This record gives sequence, C-alpha cells and structure tokens, in this order.
Amino acid sequence: MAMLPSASAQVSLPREDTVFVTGAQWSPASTWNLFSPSQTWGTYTSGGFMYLPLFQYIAGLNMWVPIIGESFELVNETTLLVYLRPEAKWSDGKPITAEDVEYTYKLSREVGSGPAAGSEPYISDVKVIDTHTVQFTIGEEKNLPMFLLYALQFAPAPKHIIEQVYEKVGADIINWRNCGGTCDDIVSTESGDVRIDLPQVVSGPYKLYYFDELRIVYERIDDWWGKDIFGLPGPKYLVHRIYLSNEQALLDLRQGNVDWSGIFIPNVGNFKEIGTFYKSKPYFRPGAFVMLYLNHRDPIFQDTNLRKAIAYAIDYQEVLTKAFYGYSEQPSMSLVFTVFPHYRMWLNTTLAQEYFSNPEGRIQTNKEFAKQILAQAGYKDVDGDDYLETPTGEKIELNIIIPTGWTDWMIAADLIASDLQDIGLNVVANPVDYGAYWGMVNSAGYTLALGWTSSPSFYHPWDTYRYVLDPRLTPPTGNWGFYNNSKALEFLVQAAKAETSEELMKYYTEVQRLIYEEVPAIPIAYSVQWYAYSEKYWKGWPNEDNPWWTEVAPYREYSLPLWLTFGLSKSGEEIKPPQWAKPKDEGGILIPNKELLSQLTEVFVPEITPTETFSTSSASETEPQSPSEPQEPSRSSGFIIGLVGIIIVVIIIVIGARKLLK
Amino acid sequence: MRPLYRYFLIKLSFLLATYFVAVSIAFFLPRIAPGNPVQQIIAGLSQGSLSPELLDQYQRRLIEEFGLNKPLHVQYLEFLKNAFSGNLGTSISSFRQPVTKLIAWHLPWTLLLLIPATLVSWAVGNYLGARAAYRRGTLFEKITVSTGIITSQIPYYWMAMVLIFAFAIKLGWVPSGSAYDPTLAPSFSWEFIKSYLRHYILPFLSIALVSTGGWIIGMRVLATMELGSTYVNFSERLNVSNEIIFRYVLRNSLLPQVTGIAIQLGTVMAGQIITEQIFNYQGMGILLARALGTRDYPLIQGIFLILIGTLLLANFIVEFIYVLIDPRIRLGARE
Repeated sequence: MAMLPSASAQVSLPREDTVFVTGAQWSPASTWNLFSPSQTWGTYTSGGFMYLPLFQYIAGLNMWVPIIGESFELVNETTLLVYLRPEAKWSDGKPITAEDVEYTYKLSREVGSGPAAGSEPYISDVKVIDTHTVQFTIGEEKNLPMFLLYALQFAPAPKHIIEQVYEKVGADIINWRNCGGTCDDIVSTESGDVRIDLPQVVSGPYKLYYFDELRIVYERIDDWWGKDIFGLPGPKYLVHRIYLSNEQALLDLRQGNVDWSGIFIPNVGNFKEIGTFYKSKPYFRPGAFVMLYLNHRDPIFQDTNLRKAIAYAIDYQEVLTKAFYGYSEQPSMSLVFTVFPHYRMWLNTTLAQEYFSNPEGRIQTNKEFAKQILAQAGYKDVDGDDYLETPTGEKIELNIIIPTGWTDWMIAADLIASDLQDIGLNVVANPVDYGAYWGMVNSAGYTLALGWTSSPSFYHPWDTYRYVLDPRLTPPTGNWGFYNNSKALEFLVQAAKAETSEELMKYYTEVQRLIYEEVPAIPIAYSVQWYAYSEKYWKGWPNEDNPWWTEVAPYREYSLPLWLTFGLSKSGEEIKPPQWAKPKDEGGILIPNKELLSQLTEVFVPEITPTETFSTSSASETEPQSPSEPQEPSRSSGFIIGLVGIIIVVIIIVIGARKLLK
Repeated sequence: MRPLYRYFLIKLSFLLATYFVAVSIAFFLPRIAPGNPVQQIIAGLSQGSLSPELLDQYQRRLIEEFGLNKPLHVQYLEFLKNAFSGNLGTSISSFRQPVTKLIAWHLPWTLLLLIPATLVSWAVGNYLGARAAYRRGTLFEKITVSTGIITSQIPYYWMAMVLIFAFAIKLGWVPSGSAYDPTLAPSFSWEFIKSYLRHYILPFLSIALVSTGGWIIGMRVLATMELGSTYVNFSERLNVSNEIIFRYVLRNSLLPQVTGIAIQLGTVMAGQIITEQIFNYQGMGILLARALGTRDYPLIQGIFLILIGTLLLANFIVEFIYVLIDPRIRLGARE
C-alpha cells in the first residue's frame, strides 16, 4: 500500500455535495494537458469542465453558446473575428486574452497536437488584433464550415503557464500530465526527466482535486469568472468512477451510488429508479448512426445489386425492437439526421418519395424484391447447398463482425444475418473482441461490420457524408467501408464551397441520389446518447418535463456535458433551470445557428477548381492509401522466428533438465 | 552433492525454464491476436471532434513511440533484455505510466484478498473434511460433504453473482462492488478501514466458499484412508481418546494438502481475476482485463511476468517447505 497517491491521500467527500458520473472514461485518468493527444474526461474534448472553448455548438438545440467568446463576425470569405469576453479570467486571476488564443494555436501547430492540431487545411493563421479580439484566417482548402468549426470551438490554454513548461521540455510538452500537484509531474525528455510542478490553471469552473486508478475527482472553483453570466454549477465535487464493465455501473446507478450515467442499459423502462430524457420509448435522444458497413475492397461488393439486395432484405423494425429495445426509430437512407427538424431540412423529400415511397427516405423491407434483384443479376444456387453463388459461380461466404460483449449489437447482427440467409446469402454473425474488431476494420479484413458515424455537427449532413463517403479517409477516422467514388468526393468538395443554401441543397441532393443508387453503406439505427440519472441525491436533470437543456450524455463533447451541472440542485432544494440557457431573443445568451449560416452565405466564396485543391486526392482514386499501412506492426515473419526461438529454448531446457536428473 | 541442495537446484532450474517459456508465450500471444493498442486509442479518439488528418498523425507517432513498427524478433529481444534488467516498460493505454507502477498499485489489493481467502479456506476446509471423515455416517458428514461437493463445483464468478444478488441487491446488507466507498480515498483512517472491510466481505466469501468446498472433499478422502491405517486401529485398541486420534489423523493427512495449496493458488488466482471484475475490485484482475481489452502489450507482459513469477515462486516455496517436513521426498530425490 506504499503506492497510494501522495499529495491528497485524505479524501472523504460529502455525498450530498458530490455528483458521481460514469460512462465517459473506461480507463484510468491519463493527462489534463490540452496539448496531449490523449486526454482525461473533463479536460476539454471530452466534457469541458476544465478548459472551455470560445463557442460551443449544441446539436440538439441548433444553437451556439458564447463561452469565452462573446460574439463573432465573418468579415469576408477568408477572415473571422472573434471578440472575447472582457470578464474571462484564468483560475489564477489573470485575464484570458487574444494572446492566449494565438499562443495556444501556434504552439499546438508546432508540437502537432492540441486544440489547433489537424486544423492545418482549414485555418492558415491566428492573429491578435487587440487584447480581446482575435482574427482567424481561412486555410488552403477554403472549406468555410470546417474553418468555422475549428475556429469557433477553439479552446485556449493559459500562455503564462504553458510558456514555462515549453521552455523546460520543448516539444515533449505533449507528455506533460498537468495534474496540479496531485501526481508526480515529471516529463521525460531526451536529456532526462524534468520536474514541472506548476499549479493547474484553467478557464472552466472545475479543477482536478484527486484521482486514482478508479476515479477522477473535480472540485468546483467557487470564484469562477463566469458565475455572473452562467451562475455556478450545483455540485461541489464531480467524481467520474471508472468501471470495467457496464454491469457494476448499472448496479450502482440503480442503488443511487452513481447519479449520472452514460452506459448502455437494456430495457431501461423496467427500472423505476433510473431517469431518462423521455419517460417512455425511445427513452434516449439519438446521437449518430449505427451503420452496416460493406467492405468495398472485397470484390464481391463491387456489385451494386448485391448491396441493394442486402439493404432490402433487412427487417429494420425487428432489429430496432428486438436488438435496440425500441430506443431508436428507423433512420433515413439519406444519412440525414431527420429526428432534429433543423437537420431534416437538408433531406430532399421528393427524391426520397421517388425512391422509397415515403418522404423520410426509409427503406421498406421487401425480401421478395431482394431475391428478385439477385435473381435478375444472375445469382444462383449452383452447388445445391441452398445458398446463392455469384453470377461467375463463386461461393458467397459473408460474416458480420461486431465487438463481443456489445449485446445489443450482437443481437442485431444475428437478426441481420438471418434476414440475409432468408434471401439465400450465406451470412453469419461473428462477434470478436474489441481489439480484434478494430484490427479487422482497420486492415479491411472483414466483409460486413456494424459500426458508427461521427455525431452531426452544425454543418450536417456534410460531416456525416464525409465520414461515410470521403475516399481520402480510412478507418478509424472515417470511411470504414473503403468506399471509393470520385463523384462522391466531388460533391463533397463542391458542397463545402456552396455559396447559397439552394446550391448546397443541389449538391446534397446529388449525394442522396448517389447513396440511393449505390448503397455504399446501410444505416440500421440511430446510436443512442446514454443519458440516465438517479434522483436520490440530485434533482433538476434535463428531461422532457424539464427541457432546459438537451443531449447530456456525460461523454458528449459536442454538447459540453458541463452545462448540465448548472441546472442541478440537491434533493430537497428547489429546481432552478439557468436563465441564460435560452436563445438571445428570449432573454438568454444562446446564438441560433441560422445566424452563423446566414453570415456564411452572405460572404462570397471564390471559385476554386477541384483539381487544384485536391491534388493529393488524385492518387487515392485508384486505391485509397492507408496512412497506417507502412507502420503496421509486422507479424507473420517475426512470429515464425519467435516461435522457432521458443521451441529451441524448450528443447534445450528439457535436455538440460534430463542431464541434471541423471 | 547433498540431496537437499541437489533437489533445490533441479527445482530451481525447472522454475526458471517454466518462467521463461510462460513469459515468452505472454509476449507472443497478444501479438498474434488481431488488433493493436494504437488502433484502439485512435478509434476512441475518432468518436470525438478530432480531424482525420490529426488522427493519422497521432497514429504514426504512437506506433513509432512504442516500437510497434519494429520486426517482432527485435521487439522480443528488447523485451527480454528489459525484463532481465527489471524494466517492464511503459503502458500504452494508461498514458505512459510505468508498468511497474501500475502493478504496484493493483497487486496489494489482489494479495489482500487472495492470501487470506486461500489460507482461511485451507484451514477451515481441512478441518471440516477431517471431521467429516472421522464422523462417518453422521448427519454432520452428509451435510458437510454434500455442501462441499456442490460449492467446489461452482465457478467463482457464479458464486460472486449469487452473493451479490442475495446480499447486496435483495437484502442490501453489504455493498455490491468496489473495494471501498467511492467517497473515500485509501488511507489508514478508521473510516476507510471500516469501509474496506464492509466491501471485503462478498469478494472474500465468493472465493473462500468455493475453495473451502474443494479442500473438504480432498481432506475427507485423505483422512478416510488414514483412518484405515494400522496406527489408528492400534490407537483405538489402546483406548486413546477420540480427540487425540482425530489430531493424529488430521496431522498425517495434512501433508499432501500442503503441496495442494501451491496447485490451488493458480486456480484461485485465475478465479479471482474474474471475480474482481464482477466486483469492480481494483486488483490485478481489473488491470489484466483492461490490458487485454486494449491490447496494451507492455502491460500484458508485465502482469504475466509478475503473476507467473509469483505463482511459481509460491509453488517453489511450498514444495521446499514440504521437503523440510517430509524426509521421504528428500530421500526420493536422490534416485
């Protein structure tokens, strides 16, 4: 027991002041450093309790929350001005300035990690105009939506602290833990280990208090700068408990040991002690798409008829009720997130009607039709095993991979496999462990896989189309199906540059037609935001009766779970939903997304030929290059060497032992 | 050479060889399985708002940093070199934490559960088993033996689930999981120790109950054989008191049970690894499950290195103690 964390070995939290959370962090805390590639729940991209962005888009409301930023102005097609709140301060009392934003941006670029990393194609420069004004300049790709997404949701770090760390360790700053004295704050550099030991300086209302292998504890900063605008969060302490499996987490939620959870709960309606957003089905809010990905590198899926037949053969309603407990309705084939009206407007209902005889674009299960498609395309049972062979006489053997233990997905895959068997395809569900699942997806070593898409952003459906269709992407960052269609890419590029919503709609319609014709991947259900709560200690949770906020699964970085804590009151106290959480015209501070979109379409976007901008993509039209390929750990040859080595060693040992025994 | 030393040397060479082979398997097995730790880290990040460009950059950097791009035999040699110099490397999934540090944090919790559970079940099981054999045909024997047979066949995890259901969920007497109350941090305060003991009851019982059953059955057979031996008959004729005969029988049948403890350790450890997961009890079981789930190669290797090492060492010590108790083994080793 000598290994107890040294600094704060004495922790006893008052239960009534503490909110226990689960479901966002499944392994021990790593680092609270904005510049690190891996982060801990609460830091920024996964919660935002410590570091706040300038603005945050909230998908369920279709609104922007001005946080460190007060307002923004899209000056012209290349320039965005962001005005920072003069009252914004770091937790050590120093003001948050434009210089912090610029420094964070520059450093993040330099070390290749942090809030600005990955923004290279979209933001070319960040400049201080005055103390509270920052200017962002668009990057080479001239992709306005991505430019705005990166610039507006940018989270600054405290320059006066970061500078000191950078001076000591240089680019190794990405390995800094920033635990503010709660751990051995040492960074290994080439010249040796460097002790940092700086206080944790944050912009958010919480900072790290204590952590060990099974929990992370944040403590509220009672004189937080934003308290006059947003108020203070209800709970004094936030504890994220780290479980290994859902079962214990669910047990603790039911017993009231956990207050706020983001875990899969089967048949949640059976548990009266658990609260969800909706009181009855679907209980949860949808988050993204659950997709059936077809591996387009497999020659068998070159045939559109097969892909189409699969889409028609799946009994979606059965999968939704039996596997997904009715938590989701059937998604639109168009990949438009139709449950939210502000996204639904991008669905071309006429086109959907034309293809699927309903305006939502939901595919109607029709096994006879699926069989007919296959028969017409020449699929026949040649060898008499009751399964079809390809028109060229090859055997078809498919399996659907899913991570084992994901029980809802396992049932779904079983149901889908049996649907496909009904139309004569030899398909089985194949649960593999999560590591293996990722290995197979990444290396295109699968035929069919259940997977997901990213969550919709303010520029949906562009982001979803990119995730599913962009040939420049490979798993795990997108395009799980290795779909490779230059037409799809061109539509995506054009849509990003569209000047008016009519023009945008034109490209989205083209993409939708392409999806209907080509069936590159099949949406099965909406993935669910696992937001559930217990009212034993805390009240005021957002739900359909108290809808002051939305989408508050603790892991949903794009809805900043932090905001939920502002509406919580101790059990027994009065519930007071925050007054600021309303659109501007209703007395709140939220900025409607349409304000941004209208600024967007007002500015003129210069014409850029696709060949010029996407010169790098021409190579990928023949074969998408997986960037990870050359780095793939070599297995087969090394393995044989190793195996031979082991055998030799064993033989030597046996001979030696026998000699000794003689 | 004196037989004792000779015996010691032979056993030691076997110990080292077994250790080496086991650890090599621990190196190769996870690497044959599809998937690698870096892919999983990137997959986790891909659900967030990071751009694909950035994720590719991270992936390359991590693969290089952890040497996963080197040929397998090079990685293996490096691993052996490091293992012998006591360097178990840094964990991939737990953000560059030294593997030794992670194990040092988790191992005490496992030992705190494993050692008392094994010793208590050994003592209780052997005593009950011997009693049952001695009181042949009584109700006590029937009850003890039948309970023993049933419990010894129950898997640890199932026992754990039954206990959780009965005593934590239905009756609510004890907490259903974790090693202590989540509002507390480990310390040597009375409050913490109280909380720890309350949380200790179910994991301890689920392991101890199952192992006790095994010991009862084993002991009863041994003691029954012992009861038929001449010295027992002789003592009975001499009218030696029952209690004294029972003590003779107990002591004589205990010998094989001492070696049994070493064999049993492995089984209990394996069972405990799953039991810990059910209770979310922060020992090596949790650490190993996490390591395997994330394909954290250095961590998997490190855990196996320690676990196998501990088990082999325990076996070695027990065997040695046995030699000290029983001269027949020592003499047998000569030939």
